[in-house]
Amino acid sequence: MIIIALAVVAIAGVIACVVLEERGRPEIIVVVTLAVVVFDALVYPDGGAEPAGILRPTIFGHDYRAADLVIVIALLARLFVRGLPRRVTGTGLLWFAFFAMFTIAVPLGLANGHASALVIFQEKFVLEAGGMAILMAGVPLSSVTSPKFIGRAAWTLGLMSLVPILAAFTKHQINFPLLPQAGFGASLGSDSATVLLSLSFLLLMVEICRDSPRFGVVAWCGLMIVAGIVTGQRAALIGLLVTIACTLVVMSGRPWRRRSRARLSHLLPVLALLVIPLGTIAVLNARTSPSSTAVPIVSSLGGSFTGVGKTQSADIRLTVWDFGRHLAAERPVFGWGLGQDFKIFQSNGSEDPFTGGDFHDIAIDLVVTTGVVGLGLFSLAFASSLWSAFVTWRGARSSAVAAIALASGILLVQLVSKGLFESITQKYRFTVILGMLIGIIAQARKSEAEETEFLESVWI
Amino acid sequence: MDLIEFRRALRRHLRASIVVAILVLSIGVLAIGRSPQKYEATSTILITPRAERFQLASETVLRVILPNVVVVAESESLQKQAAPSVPAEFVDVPITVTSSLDNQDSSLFVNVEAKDPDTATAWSGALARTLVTRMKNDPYLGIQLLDPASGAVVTGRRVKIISFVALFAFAFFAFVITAFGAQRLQEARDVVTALRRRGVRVLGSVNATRRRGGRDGLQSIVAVLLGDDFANGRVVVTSLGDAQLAPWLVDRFDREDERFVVEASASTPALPGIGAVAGPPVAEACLRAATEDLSACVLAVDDRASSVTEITSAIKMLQQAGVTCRGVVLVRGAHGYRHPGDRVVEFAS
Repeated sequence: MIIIALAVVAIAGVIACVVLEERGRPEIIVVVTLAVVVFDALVYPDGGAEPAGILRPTIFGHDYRAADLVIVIALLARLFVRGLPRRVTGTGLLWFAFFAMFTIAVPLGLANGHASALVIFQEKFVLEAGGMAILMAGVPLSSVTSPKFIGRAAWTLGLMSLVPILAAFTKHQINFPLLPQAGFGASLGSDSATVLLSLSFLLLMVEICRDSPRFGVVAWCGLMIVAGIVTGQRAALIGLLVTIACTLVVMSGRPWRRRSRARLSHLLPVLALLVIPLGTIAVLNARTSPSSTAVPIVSSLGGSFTGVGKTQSADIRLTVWDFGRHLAAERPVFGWGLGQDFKIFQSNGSEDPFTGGDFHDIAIDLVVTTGVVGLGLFSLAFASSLWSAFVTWRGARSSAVAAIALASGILLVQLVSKGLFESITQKYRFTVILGMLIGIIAQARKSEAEETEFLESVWI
Repeated sequence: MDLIEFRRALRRHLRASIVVAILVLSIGVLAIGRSPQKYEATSTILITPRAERFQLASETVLRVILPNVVVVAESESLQKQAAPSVPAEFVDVPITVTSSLDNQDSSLFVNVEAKDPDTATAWSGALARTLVTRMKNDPYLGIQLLDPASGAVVTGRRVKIISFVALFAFAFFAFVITAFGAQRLQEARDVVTALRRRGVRVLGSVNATRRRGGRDGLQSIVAVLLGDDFANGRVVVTSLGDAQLAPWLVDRFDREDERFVVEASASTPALPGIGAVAGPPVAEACLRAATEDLSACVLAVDDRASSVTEITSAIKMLQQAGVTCRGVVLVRGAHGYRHPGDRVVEFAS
């Protein structure tokens, strides 16, 4: 019955996507996909604990996400309307080669006796990242960088995330009606923080590269970016720090002065807005409980790195990395295939072993599953995307296109830095964002080249 | 790059691509084929929790005890204990012991991997028997040998076959990526091709380092310029980046053909604001075009110093100032020219 219902929904979805593609509105499909991801991340901060339901359907015994289905439907519609690609770019070729080698790791994993459920689960990375990249690469950037779109997106995203952020700040649990176990938790969640950071940073960069940035848009984006500090997750904080560091480097360059009026000195009021409330809370806290030495927020940030749970988590990561390196050394060329699972008992006395086939380091993950070949192709494709983002930032005629390409490059670095401490290939929210960033960079480069060719074709 | 262009690139760089693909295949075959054939023998042991012990105990106790048996089965101490029961010729042969537990029916598999089947079989059986003997008085588990290994099977054959498939796929990608990369590299190095692909008219290139002062290239450039059907015979020769490049080129024109009349001209200040991309010389050309009623120019470019984007941006800027760029002259090895002042060239044809 469920399968029939899904089939009907899928057919209706394909028809709707075909209509949108034919009317030249592919950005709506991408926005819907991202809306599903954002909503899911906000109401289920812990993606692993999300129960089966409309956002996590089970099909033929396998676990999927609603966004997976939207991507498949949208890809079918894209193929139907536009056919196979007629152009090839270096970056596209490298990503295709990487995803193809990742897919070859499926039979390799099955031949090594790995569980098929885990193999299929890990292979979804190709659908989510590759599929999203294809979808995004077909969206004209002029439609998603227009002031109207940026304004609407920032306000909608900001209003959507306001309650979860406030709930996390006040450490208050709010249950969400209709969906089982859904709610805004006492913590925002690492995934939610990264999703909000990524989307708001894209919007913010485009906005501040306009002639007159709007205060409301900048404020919403700023709130969503700094929301990561209430997650209590190291990886989210590392991602935030990497993003800020990269932005500071870019802001000191010459192209920035050409494209934006925002200067480093403009960050001072933002810092003041952060420090003054923190200081006030600290003073009030000191008056009400003089014996306490903890400073609010700061102490929770410190706890993200030095708490007992975090130390144990770091210890188990070291053991997992050692095990991963040992496995990689045994089969360095093509690895062990997908679905390489392990069981490591934790030193905290828990009877539940640490498991899941996730080595919490993208480099080790890739070497174990796809070998140095997979890691090499990923590195090449990643470097190629970054180079494209950099070239577009420096040379694009449109500042909005340049800004979104630059922001995507910075977020790619952020995601991969985060991936050195936690899995990004097994978390669908990250893989969708990764695909979106790859697609934006590809589209920015393409649109810039087309614009150049057009301008020069009228030249005698 | 569209697919037709891509096919041409593949044909053009076929040799380099094939070399890379063969290299990848050779290294891969060596790496995959080097691993020797291995054999695996498996013995099955039945483990039954003693009912009287687990009537009051929780299931989680069993979840801890059962994995312990796996640890014992894979331990070195069990290997030492089993060694006397293994035939002498197999004792010193290296083996790998893995053990797995089937949680559905509590059976334990003792797998031994070795480079010959007899060693694997002998060790698997010996380890299984020793484990049963060692644990026969265990207070929690009843253990019995169900099926000692009677032979060994080749392991990793499917993995090897798939690895070769993966190798061929990777070699194919290496082939394609090499062709693509070589084409891009060639295009990046060849400014003329890149400019022409973008629709920019390249009049030719002049080699400034040659003794003849690039006369061969100059002749064809002059021929093209003289052949142009322009109402106004006067053009500004301007340069991108280096201000001395334009006078040097004018001097070459002057020497090349008598039909060129070179006017000396006072230098003009750069236009404020518009020289940001192209540099002052182009800005000067724009200004001169405006003040002296000149509507055409030739853009001289040092092929190493200026990128394609910079050149196309400069042309666009000239267009916006109402100056038609009649073409680009690429000066290769442009570092030996010295000539003061700006010049205007008049074609007396």
